[in-house]
Amino acid sequence: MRMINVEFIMESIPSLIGAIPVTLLMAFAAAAAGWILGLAIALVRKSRVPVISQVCAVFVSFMRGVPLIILLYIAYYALPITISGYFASIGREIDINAVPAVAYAIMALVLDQAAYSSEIFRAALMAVDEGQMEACYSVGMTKSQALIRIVLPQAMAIALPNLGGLFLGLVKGTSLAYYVGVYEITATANLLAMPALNFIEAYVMTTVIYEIISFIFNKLFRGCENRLKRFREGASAA
Amino acid sequence: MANMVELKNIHKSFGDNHILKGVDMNIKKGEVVVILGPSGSGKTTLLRTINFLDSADDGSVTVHDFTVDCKKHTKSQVIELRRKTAMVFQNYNLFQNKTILENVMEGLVTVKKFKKSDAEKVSREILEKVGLSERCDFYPSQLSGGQQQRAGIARALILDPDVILFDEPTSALDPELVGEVLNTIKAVAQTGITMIVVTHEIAFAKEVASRVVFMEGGVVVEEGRPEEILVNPKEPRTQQFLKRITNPNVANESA
Amino acid sequence: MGHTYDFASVPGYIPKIMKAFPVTMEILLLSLLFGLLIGAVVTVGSLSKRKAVNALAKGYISFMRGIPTLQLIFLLYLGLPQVMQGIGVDMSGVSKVAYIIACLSLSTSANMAEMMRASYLAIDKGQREAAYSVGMKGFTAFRRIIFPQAFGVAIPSLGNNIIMLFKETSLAFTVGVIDILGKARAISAASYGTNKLEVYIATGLIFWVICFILENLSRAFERAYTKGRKKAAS
Repeated sequence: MRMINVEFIMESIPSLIGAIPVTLLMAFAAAAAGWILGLAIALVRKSRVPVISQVCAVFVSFMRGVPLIILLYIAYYALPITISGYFASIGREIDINAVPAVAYAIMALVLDQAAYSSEIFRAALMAVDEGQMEACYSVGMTKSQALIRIVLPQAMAIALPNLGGLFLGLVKGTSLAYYVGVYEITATANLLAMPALNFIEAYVMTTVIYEIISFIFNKLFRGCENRLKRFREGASAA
Repeated sequence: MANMVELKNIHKSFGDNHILKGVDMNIKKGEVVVILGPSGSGKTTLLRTINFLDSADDGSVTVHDFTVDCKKHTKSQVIELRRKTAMVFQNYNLFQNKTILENVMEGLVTVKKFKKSDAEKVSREILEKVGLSERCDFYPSQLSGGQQQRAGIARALILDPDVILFDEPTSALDPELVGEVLNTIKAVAQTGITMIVVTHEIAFAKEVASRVVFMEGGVVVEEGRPEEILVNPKEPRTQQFLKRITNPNVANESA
Repeated sequence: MGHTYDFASVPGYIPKIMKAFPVTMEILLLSLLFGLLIGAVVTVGSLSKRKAVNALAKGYISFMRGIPTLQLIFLLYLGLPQVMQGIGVDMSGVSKVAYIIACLSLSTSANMAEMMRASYLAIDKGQREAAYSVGMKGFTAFRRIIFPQAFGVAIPSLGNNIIMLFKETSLAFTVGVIDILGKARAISAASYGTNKLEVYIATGLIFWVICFILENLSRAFERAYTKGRKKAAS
């Protein structure tokens, strides 16, 4: 009968905790860059900029149709060729092997987040009452003033719950970076468990870690939501 | 200056639907013009073409000697025109993400480039005038419709516009809240500011209007002093409309 | 990274990869079936007035939403047999596909439960009261009045969940199942990995097209189903 290997657990904890920043780095970087890109895509599609709008629609559809693991693979194999090809074309040599795998993983995640968040932002922008824009115009604001000061803040409050869900999905998605050689939480657990086949111990620990991360971010987003939406359901507070 | 607002030959279609069929209107400084008419007559659209929320297909709009050609206009012309006007909306359209005070300050700060502290001071004064000094830090969704509409009026007033456009300001209100808003509008009218009001409130028109305009089918049918138009209208269409609106049963009989 | 990349060869890989399509479909349909069943049970639990049952159902949903599917796969495929061995059960006879189906069913069941719960709650209370008022019993009211309306509300998120589940079937390769992506990796391995990028692009295109079809099916179905009915959500 196999016993729980307590010694393994104690020894592994520092390495697993050490891998958390890699997971969070990927998630934060992808969310920060991806959501800005997503907002830009949403604005372009909302204002129906010709050609760019259609290109964005195809991009979003592709990103949403292809599993993340395949996007990661494509990024991992395509980007080095593209990047070194670009540098060769401007007559410079770079050592493509010096670029860490995590950079490719982040790029794939950025594009993934851009596509998904753009849909969230688009829906949120549409959900803001048309009258808000008209009221801005009626006091003499320009379109960009109206967007920045009135429409976007309201759209953000509407988008926030979905962005929270998207972020939790993103954290989970980073576990797939294991397959392109990023030593995040899952990969580290695998590496530690392999020699003595301590799988159950390793994966219970990582599961706990993921659950804790999800719990914390869930709470954080809920907190933000409550702060932001005070103007949305204020009726009950009156 | 002859007129504060001049509309010349305003035409507007939505698709195949010809809403405004050449409307001309001259409004002097300090006049309170009430536009009446059945729904679909184009009165709200006419109001919205004045500040280009809907841009007319043909004609020209002049506010305080600044003329914009509806056929060819630039963005900056439209913005300048809008800065000479202000609007009070049927659904209030207060900025949902701003408090009542911030709603009133918004135009001063972003458009007129007031210092925040100055903007706050005058905004508080005007909110006191419309009876909302207790509600400055509330969000719109925390207020009753009547309070929201009074805040909407304050937001329009503070910009010191050449003309205020009222688009059915009491239509969305519960009946018991109509009075407080009409009283506020009356008080505004007494300050001598030029106003154009689209409404169904006949009694209000009688009391406040310096001129009543009756529209139907995208044209002005009849206009004149309130006692002429509302008591002794010449046009049969105006007579019918007034009968219907003052006594709904008549409409059923004649239909 | 010496090799140049040959986009023209991409379409050629598609039929070869598609040979594994039945495996992917098998995983998708069985996971969908079990996911819906588990989801239904969890939904009943999450709507229960008994606190313990309610907390259990909500805890299950929140646990499943917090764990990456890949973790779940490793936990069940690598960890569970160790535990079972510890108590004297041999799981070596269980097929890899069964593990994947189990993992995906569990993972999608939480989404399904949330969908069912939200759709159920979206139906106006008056509908049930009206059903009772004409003398229907509890289950009859559910079957004839509540369910058909809630189903209409659920179709868009059901479509979304199926698409998400379909994309997650791509994780089957992680335990060595030859599904679409597994097949792609096998093809690439057979030529010593020189054509990896082209093969993955071909696989991506396959997923994209199938997702596109699923999305349109979902929309068409929604339109057909809600035609003539007033959508309860609106």
